[in-house]
Amino acid sequence: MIEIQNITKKFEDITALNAVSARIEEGQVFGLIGTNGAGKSTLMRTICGIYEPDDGQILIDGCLVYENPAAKSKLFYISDDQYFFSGTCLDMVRYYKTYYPAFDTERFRSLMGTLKLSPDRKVNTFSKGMKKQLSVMLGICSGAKYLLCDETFDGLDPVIRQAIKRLFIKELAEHSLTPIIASHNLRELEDICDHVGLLHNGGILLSKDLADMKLGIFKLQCVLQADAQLEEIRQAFPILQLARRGSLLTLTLRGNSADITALQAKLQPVFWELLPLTLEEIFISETEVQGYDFKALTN
Amino acid sequence: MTSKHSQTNPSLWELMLDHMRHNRVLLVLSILGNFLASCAGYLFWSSNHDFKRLLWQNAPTLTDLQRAELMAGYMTSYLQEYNIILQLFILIPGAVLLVMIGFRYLFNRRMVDLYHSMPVTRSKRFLALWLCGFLIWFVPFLAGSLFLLIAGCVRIGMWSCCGVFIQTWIKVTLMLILGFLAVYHLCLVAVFLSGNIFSALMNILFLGLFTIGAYVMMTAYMSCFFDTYTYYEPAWLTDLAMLLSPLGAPAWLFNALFITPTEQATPLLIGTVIVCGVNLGLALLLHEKRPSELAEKGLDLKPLRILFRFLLSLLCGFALALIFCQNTSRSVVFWMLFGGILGFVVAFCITNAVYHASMRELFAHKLQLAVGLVFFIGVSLFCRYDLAGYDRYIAPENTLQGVAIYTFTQADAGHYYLYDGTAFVQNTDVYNSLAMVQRGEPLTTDPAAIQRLLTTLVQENETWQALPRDAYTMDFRDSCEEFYVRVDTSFGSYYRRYQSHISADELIMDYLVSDTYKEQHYPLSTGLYPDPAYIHGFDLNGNEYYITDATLIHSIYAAYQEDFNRTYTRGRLTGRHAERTLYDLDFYFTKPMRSQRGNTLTSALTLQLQMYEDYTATIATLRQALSGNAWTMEDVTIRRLDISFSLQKDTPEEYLGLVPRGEQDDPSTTGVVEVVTSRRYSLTIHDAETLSQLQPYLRIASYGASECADGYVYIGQAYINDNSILRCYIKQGAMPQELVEKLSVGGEERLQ
Repeated sequence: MIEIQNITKKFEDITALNAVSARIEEGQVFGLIGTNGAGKSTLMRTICGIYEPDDGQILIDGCLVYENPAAKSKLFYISDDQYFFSGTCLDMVRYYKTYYPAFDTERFRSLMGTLKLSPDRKVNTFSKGMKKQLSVMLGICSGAKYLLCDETFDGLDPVIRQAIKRLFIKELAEHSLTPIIASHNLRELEDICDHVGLLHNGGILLSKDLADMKLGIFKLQCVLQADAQLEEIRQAFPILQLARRGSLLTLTLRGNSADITALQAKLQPVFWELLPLTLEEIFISETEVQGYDFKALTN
Repeated sequence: MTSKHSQTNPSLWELMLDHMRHNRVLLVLSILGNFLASCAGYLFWSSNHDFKRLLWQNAPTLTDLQRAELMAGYMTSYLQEYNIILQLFILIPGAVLLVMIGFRYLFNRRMVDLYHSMPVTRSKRFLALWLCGFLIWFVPFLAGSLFLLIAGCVRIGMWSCCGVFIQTWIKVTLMLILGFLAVYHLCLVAVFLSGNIFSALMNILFLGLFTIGAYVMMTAYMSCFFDTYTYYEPAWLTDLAMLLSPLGAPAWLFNALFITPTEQATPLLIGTVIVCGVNLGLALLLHEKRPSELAEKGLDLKPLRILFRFLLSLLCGFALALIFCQNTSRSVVFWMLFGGILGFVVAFCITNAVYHASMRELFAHKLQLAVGLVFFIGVSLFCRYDLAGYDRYIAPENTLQGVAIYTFTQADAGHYYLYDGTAFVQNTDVYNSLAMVQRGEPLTTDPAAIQRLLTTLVQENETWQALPRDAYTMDFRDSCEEFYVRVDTSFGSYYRRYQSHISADELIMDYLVSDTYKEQHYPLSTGLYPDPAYIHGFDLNGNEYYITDATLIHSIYAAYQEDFNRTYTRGRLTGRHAERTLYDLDFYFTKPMRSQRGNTLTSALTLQLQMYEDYTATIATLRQALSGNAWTMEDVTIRRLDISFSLQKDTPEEYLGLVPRGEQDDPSTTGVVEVVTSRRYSLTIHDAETLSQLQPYLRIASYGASECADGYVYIGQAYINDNSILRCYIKQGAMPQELVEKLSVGGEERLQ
């Protein structure tokens, strides 16, 4: 388990992470989502022990990570722009094998074959997407327990993306690999993540199971009999978003579906439809609550 | 959980191998550099024609042992001189490259992500990289050095003669390793402070050379603006400046240890080891604490950034101010300030851009710039107008403990006795002991007398300074005496250079003619030079001679001392009115020497003593020893005399009583030919009668004698045989009237 406890990281005058706390359990795919500049990469680097936090601590299976090789050997970090030495893929394997003795070279060859990449090919002849694939292969075969992927799906074609997602799930099942995926592309994470941490302006807004998150937040489209009924809804559930088009109201509510259905029975609205939210909508709603003004960006 | 996740950390050896794999280019460069150095070294000492000729010339008389000893001496001197210089050319850039390339990941954010995310501690990585870098240099270096050792021993050919050579090899090798580490650790510190290559290079230059630069700038500024400033800086100050500049420390250390050994060598060695160790510790600490986010930035530590920028700008400002000063006139304050401000601002802006790794920051920190400029201008004006009263300073009477005086010629190493010390390349201990006289006992310790002397000197000096600069001519200089004064106080000694008019000579003459002064400055009777092996020299005919008879050598040596003591006058002391020299007497000593401090010196030396015209006892002894040689002007036969001289700007043409007439180089002509454009005059005399008439008035001219000064007239060159030429002069007024008229047809004024 990775425990992030009140991590603060500043770069001169900029506070990249501000008292961030989260917990990443083993055996799940953790999605770290956030706006640009929210601090996702900083948090990933801090988890890996690249950055030393100014405050707080990060524990990997109960051990501090910074300058702790035992804890760091359980992590494999794939940055958004991974560095490769000049040489072939196998040269990179040799490098990682020095630090991860449990590196499975045979499996690496096999996976590379599956993805139709030649292990003997020079890395600098690879495209951006191929380099991403290579880094994921290296991470999976390293034998590390936690695989930290920063914007890893960027630049991958849909087929490879799905293949890698399947690979993650397979590794999770067979080797207890815990992928931690940082991305701003919520659709990519929606179908793979079990747990999501939402990072905004250097702080974690929420960290929940995706299923719970989807259960606890809904989009309601309704036409009420009277405007006063809106006040009743407001009193019953926290409204994250409200949009009005004529008499049609679109609300994003926090609550459970049973309570909302009970309210429908009570109010007897003209029209009432409860819709599940996509992860993107949840993300937008939560960040807007925290003052992230999307409308201002688009106007 | 499966066992798959259990990992063991890489060993140091594995890390080193991994590092070596990614830095093969460095290994190749190191092997290539050291190989080429070995080749160059081999070619150098195997093709030394001078040495070959020496061996060849002496081949019939040399025994195998002598030949081996000669070879051992040659190889040893090569090892500790040229070999070191050659190695420094590899060592310094090698250390810089090894650090810059070996730790290049620190300059690249992506590489830092990769390296720092790996499961290994920073200290272990540092150790691996440090060792790897060191070995990449050391292994090829050692191979090359061993090659040199083996080749040297083979060349010497006799095992019993290899001892000194092997000892020197060990010492040189150890010192080169220390030198490498000094530069290597400096570069590590510089790189760990930096986030990019430009900042790292600037830091290497700054940390590596700043104190040397500051020291040079300080002495240059002082000598430019303070008339009484001398270069007699305490040795520890120079050593400290070199030590704190690790790029200069190896060269300084090698010089002190091998090339011109000094007593400072041991403390310097200890100091270098300490600085080397401190830098290593600092490097380790910086590597541990260096934030990963520093990659691709400049110098991230704000206090250091401000300090480095300020000091660098200040140094550049002072340097440019000095250049502008020298190229204009130091009295033009405007140009000095203009140059200084320009240098300061340019350096400030460049360091801004480099340390912030952004051109946008070129003109940032205007307040710091303004404060720096005010400081610079303040210091410059403070020096320019001597606001601290440096030139007028006299230590308080209650602190005065002694005063010592050195005349210009000695202070300038111009007097042969001391000058010779510079030629003691293999006997630097003797030179050092000679130089030690300048740190000898004071001439007086009476505070009141010292106070009076200093007050007069300062006043004299102020008089001289008060003169308009136009008055500072050669004639003016000739009417002054320049000397250095060392003042001993209860808080240490300080040196000043004063100029005093001839009329004030009485002030110091009492000191200069005292026995104390003589003994300190002319240590003939101290037993420093016992038992010369032989005397070598050339007589006035240019014939080379050797005197090997011990009795004769002793009598010549004794006669020289007698002449020296007899002619020890004020003119000789100050070097202004000395009689002209005849020639040099080279005394060769091959036995162990004893220095003034009682140290036994092991190698041979040459003591070159200058003969003067009035050294009658020495001349008589020489004449007795080698009667066939020419010892005075009367002993030579002049075949031809070339008279040539040029008149100075204000000298009237009638000065010599010679006026232009006739054709140059016409044997029948006895007149003078003038080259109008340069006011140079020349005359060639072949006529035997005229030459014989002139000969009694000709004197030998020493080099450097001014042409028309001090009552002497420089004449020209006398060809006394096919091989020998003497420079001659005629004392003004010495020639009879008829001879003057014969030489200068139509002249009104005469050579009188």
